[in-house]
Amino acid sequence: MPSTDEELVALSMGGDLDSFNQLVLRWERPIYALAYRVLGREEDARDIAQETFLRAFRALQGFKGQAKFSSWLYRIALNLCRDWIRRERRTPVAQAPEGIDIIELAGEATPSETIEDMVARHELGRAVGKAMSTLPEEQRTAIILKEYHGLTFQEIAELLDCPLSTVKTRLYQGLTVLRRQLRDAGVASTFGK
Amino acid sequence: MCDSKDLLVSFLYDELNAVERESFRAHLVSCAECRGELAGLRTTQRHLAAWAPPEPDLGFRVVRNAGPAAPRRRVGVLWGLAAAAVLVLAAGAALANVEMRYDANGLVLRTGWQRGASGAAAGAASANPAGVTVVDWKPQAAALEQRVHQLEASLSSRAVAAQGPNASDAAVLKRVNELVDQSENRQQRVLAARLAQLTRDLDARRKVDLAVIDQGLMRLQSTSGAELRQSRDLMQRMYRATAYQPK
Repeated sequence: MPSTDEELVALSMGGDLDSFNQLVLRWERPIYALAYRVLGREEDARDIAQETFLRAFRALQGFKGQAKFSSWLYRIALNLCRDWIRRERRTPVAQAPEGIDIIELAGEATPSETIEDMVARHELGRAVGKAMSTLPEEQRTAIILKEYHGLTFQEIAELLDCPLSTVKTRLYQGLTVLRRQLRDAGVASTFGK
Repeated sequence: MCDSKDLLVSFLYDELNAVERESFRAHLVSCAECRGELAGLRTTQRHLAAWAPPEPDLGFRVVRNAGPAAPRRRVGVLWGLAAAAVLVLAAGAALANVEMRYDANGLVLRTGWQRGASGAAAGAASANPAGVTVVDWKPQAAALEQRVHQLEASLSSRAVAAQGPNASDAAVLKRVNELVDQSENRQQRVLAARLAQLTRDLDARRKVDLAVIDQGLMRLQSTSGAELRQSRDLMQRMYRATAYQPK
């Protein structure tokens, strides 16, 4: 039976490295995905994810369990992303490869999806990534945490150190901008049916 | 313009309590603006689902740092300690007739009064094929034994001088034997501690080597991944070239 995060954290704090590595295995993809969507850069997202777990491991004895372990990881990762943006003085980018990788797409094929559908889905993903990269950081982060990580308003407010109403405002404004941009890009009439 | 945006977002993400939810549903019936906005935001949500990060090559693993590679000086100190431990044990052996041997079968310790035939290889130190220096302790043991006899004689004469003609030689000898036993016990404890330290150091070194090998393998894997991507790119270009249809 799989252990809970809390159980694994307790074992890790007692010096059990395998337990901590189970937590890494459980959370490395969500943390990488968070960093990727915030920064828009694959390699940097990997580095951020790796650094997040190293910092968490070093600071584990200071983790008192007031928040969920995952929220604690998200906070570390977001702080690292913020530092990265400040240090690099860059705005996030939407990585857009020159073409659609047909071979890679074929590997992702599901029995119910044609190759045309897959290409369309990837094109839409690129359009969304591009539109997201134009949002202010706080709106983008709120949408990422809500849409892709399923955090509650309250959890987002605690992570971002802002009032609940601010989280809702950021989500509303960000989604509204995205809606307009995707519509202008001709996405709304083509996809999402 | 409707100012229910806060409720709209909460409704969109299903974060209203039952009463608030029903109230907003009733509002939607009468507010075309909110209905239209809600539909538009739900479409946007569906679009967002298409944005997936590239499949990452992760597999992070935290390993305990065994510290930097031990400098040569440290190795020298270790062997010095090991040699010192051998000498200490040899001195003890000289006192208690302990036989110590290091050969292909490993380290052998034997105690007792029997004089084995192992003393044939007297002389200078020799080295075995594994590079471990084996010290021939027999001459030193003999010298030490002789020295102990001299001390015993000296102590006896001093005891006689100090205590007068009634002092017992047996009591003096008993005291000397006690001192010898204590010394031997002390030396064995020191040797055990040194051997334990040596084992720990060798274990730490082994872990460092394993970590280095692990990193090398990971590098090799990432190189293979890059080659795979290059091959894929090449196939992709070939696909495009073959799919090209001149008008």
